[in-house]
Amino acid sequence: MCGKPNPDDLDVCQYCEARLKPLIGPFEPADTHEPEERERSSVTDWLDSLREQEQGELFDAEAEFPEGDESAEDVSLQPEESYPGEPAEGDWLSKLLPERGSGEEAEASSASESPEWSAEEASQETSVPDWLSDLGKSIQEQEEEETFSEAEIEAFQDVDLWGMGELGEEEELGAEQDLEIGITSQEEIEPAEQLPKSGEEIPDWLQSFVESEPTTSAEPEEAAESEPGVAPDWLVELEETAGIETSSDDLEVESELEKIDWEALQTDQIDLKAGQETPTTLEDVPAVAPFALDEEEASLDIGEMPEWLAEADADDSEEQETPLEEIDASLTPGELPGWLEAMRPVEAAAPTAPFTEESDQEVESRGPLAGLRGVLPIEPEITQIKKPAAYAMKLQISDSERKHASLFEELISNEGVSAPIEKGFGISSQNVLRVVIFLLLLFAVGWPIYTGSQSVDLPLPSRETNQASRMIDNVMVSEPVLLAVDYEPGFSGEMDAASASIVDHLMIRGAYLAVVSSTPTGPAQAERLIKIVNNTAGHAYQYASQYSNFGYVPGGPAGLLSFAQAPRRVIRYGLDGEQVWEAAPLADVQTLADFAFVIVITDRPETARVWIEQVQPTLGDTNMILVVSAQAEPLVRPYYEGVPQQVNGMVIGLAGAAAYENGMPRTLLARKYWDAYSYGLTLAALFILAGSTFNSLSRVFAKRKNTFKDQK
Amino acid sequence: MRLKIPLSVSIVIGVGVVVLLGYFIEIPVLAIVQQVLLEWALILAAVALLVGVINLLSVHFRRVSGRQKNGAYSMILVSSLLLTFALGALFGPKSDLSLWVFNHVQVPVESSLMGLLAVVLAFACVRMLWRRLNPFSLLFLATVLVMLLGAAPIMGIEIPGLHGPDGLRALIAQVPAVAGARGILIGIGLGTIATGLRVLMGADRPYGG
Repeated sequence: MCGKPNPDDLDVCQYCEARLKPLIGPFEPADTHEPEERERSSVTDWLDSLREQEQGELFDAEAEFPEGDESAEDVSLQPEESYPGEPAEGDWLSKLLPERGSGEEAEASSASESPEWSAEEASQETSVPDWLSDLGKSIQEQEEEETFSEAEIEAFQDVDLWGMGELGEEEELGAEQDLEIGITSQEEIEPAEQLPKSGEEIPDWLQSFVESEPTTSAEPEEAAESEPGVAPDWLVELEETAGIETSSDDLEVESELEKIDWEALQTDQIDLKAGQETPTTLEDVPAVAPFALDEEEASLDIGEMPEWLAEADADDSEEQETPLEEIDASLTPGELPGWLEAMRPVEAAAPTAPFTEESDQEVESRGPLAGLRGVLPIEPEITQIKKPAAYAMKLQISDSERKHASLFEELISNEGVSAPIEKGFGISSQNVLRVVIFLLLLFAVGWPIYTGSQSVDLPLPSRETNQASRMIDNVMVSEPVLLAVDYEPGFSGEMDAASASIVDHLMIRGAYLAVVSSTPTGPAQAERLIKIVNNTAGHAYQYASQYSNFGYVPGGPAGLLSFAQAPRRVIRYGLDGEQVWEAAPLADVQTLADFAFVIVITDRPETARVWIEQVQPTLGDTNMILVVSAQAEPLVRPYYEGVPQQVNGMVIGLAGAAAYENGMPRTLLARKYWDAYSYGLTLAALFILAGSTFNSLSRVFAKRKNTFKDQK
Repeated sequence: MRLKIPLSVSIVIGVGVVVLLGYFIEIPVLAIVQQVLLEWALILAAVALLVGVINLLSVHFRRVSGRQKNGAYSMILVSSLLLTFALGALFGPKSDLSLWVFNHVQVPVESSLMGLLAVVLAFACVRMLWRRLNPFSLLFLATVLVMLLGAAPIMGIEIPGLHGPDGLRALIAQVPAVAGARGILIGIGLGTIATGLRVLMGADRPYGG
């Protein structure tokens, strides 16, 4: 390619390493000289024939002769060994040329548009050697349906010889596309423009290539023998035909390239390629010869359109030919009536939305929406991390609202804070006060007991106390009396004194005491009570013979109910484990109604209520007497006040016992405690009264003092 | 609709209905069944008391063995319980030793607490007007004074109109107090009926069924 001479046996230039022999070299048998000479002679012949044409209209003869015309064979110098593919080329080329033009004008144009080298190639194919013709025959036999002609393949090979060298498959495809452009452009471009244009100036290797071009296609060896630096005749004729001076000045070449009507070329290319299937492989790609159209492409020419389509095309062409200015001028502008014009909301209808630049929107590059602009993005905007907008945290409120809010906040905050305890005015120490109270009460209670004072008169017995006393007075000797001792040890001071006189009275009467309890401490408390009475009143009541302790009846109301319904089933053994019901006074007792009466000693109103509600209904005519604490009086009294009475007699507290003893011939604990009780209650009442008065006055003075300070 | 009633609920309802019917219907068989059920209640209550004592002993015994805080008090409790139980088991609950423990330990302790309560109540009454001085407080204070002073003669002196069966103290104790007590008793009765019905209907299950 550098243009320098190289030895014949070299395939690659020793200077520029450009391939000197084409890739189809292996098809040429190197050891056969006769075909070479024959080809050389044939090339020489057609070159000579080319030179004979004075006007350079090389394609005239090729275009003029029809298919099968023998004159064409003379012009083309078709050799005798021409392979079968040659006529095919002649056919499509002969068909194409008359179709693209009609008459002599078309022929002239085709002749002028077709490059000279195309005809030269066609002529070269006529000089294909025998081996190549045989190869062509075999190919034709194998691919009879293939529309490609050997001429096209040869043309492709020639294109390769133009300098593409060893190209890959893709490069060859790209090169072929370029060649297609070149093919279409050759109709209007002079052959000189088909020269390599990659370089600004034609290098030497290209110059040598141009010089060896006629021979390399068919006989490379012969091309090597040609004189370097001399342009071939066909190139000279081509230059003359195109009217362009062959020069190495690249600027002139480029200026001529700029004159090419590329749009027309592309239009022609599109017309030619319409309906043609895209080849998939290089083998499928037809070896299209330059300026060659196959039959299929030729059949798609405009000349074969149906009449109706041709008419429609003609109409469209006529309409398109009409200038747009003329159409606009012919149209009269629309006129709206006055009333409609007045109603037209011009401003409202005016587009107010900001114009969105489409260029700002992204174009989808993948997926079914590829190519569309401004579609919804695949990724939602939520996935895009953005810095949150900064908002002002200060609440915009008025002064009055601020005052109300602060007041409300103060109210809420005060709810969780306990009010401070105001210290007592004038009290030095609460502990001192407590000690003083203790000492006073101790003295008031202890002193009468210690001295045995009986200065305070006993109260008169009340109605309920008298009833209880009369019932006990009616008790026969050894008559069983059920005595329920259900008070806690803490109330022993009051209940022992309240019940001692009753028990003493019973002992005086010689009643058989059956002691039972519904509290765990009741049995021990009963033993304690009997012991106290014995010791105080001088009795000697013996267990089992004069009294029995049934013990503890568990279960609360249920236990008492069960005991009331079947005392023998519930209580079988006494506190010492004896058979309680075997005692003589209790032998005839089957139910609680068999007792003379039932006395319940309790400190709690609940226990008294249980006894009244669960046991009293089973007593029948047997009376019930309650000895209760003073605190239980309000809840027990209704049962006494009711009609019929559920409670037949009561002794309430120490005062009731004192009143009971008041009617007895002897006094016991109530009398002993009565003075202390009287002094203690009086002192306690006075202390409470004095303290309450003092505190209330102190509070009043303190408030006044604070008010006076606030006024100051 | 198929009702799913647990077995425990069925037992409770059945027992309750039988015992309730025993109050109103005089059927010997029903009375016998009621009595048997009541006896079972006595046994269960006694066992429950025993279980409670054992639980109390075990809890405080763990505190003593674990040397936890205030373990000394637990030791006193455990030792007292065991001692009392031993005395009752060995000498019987009616023995002098058992009664001595009761009379000289339990009664004074609980009586002291009651005496302390009396002093505290008196002191609280004194402080009442300092804390809250209003008509109701004054009324409460006046009632307390009347009931205290009317319970016994003031230094041996009975005041007419205050002491005696027709005195003010008796009037307050027998009219307004009884009226209030009746209301309380009626409320207790209604509450007992409602609770009993709820238990019988299975709506209230205090036994954890």
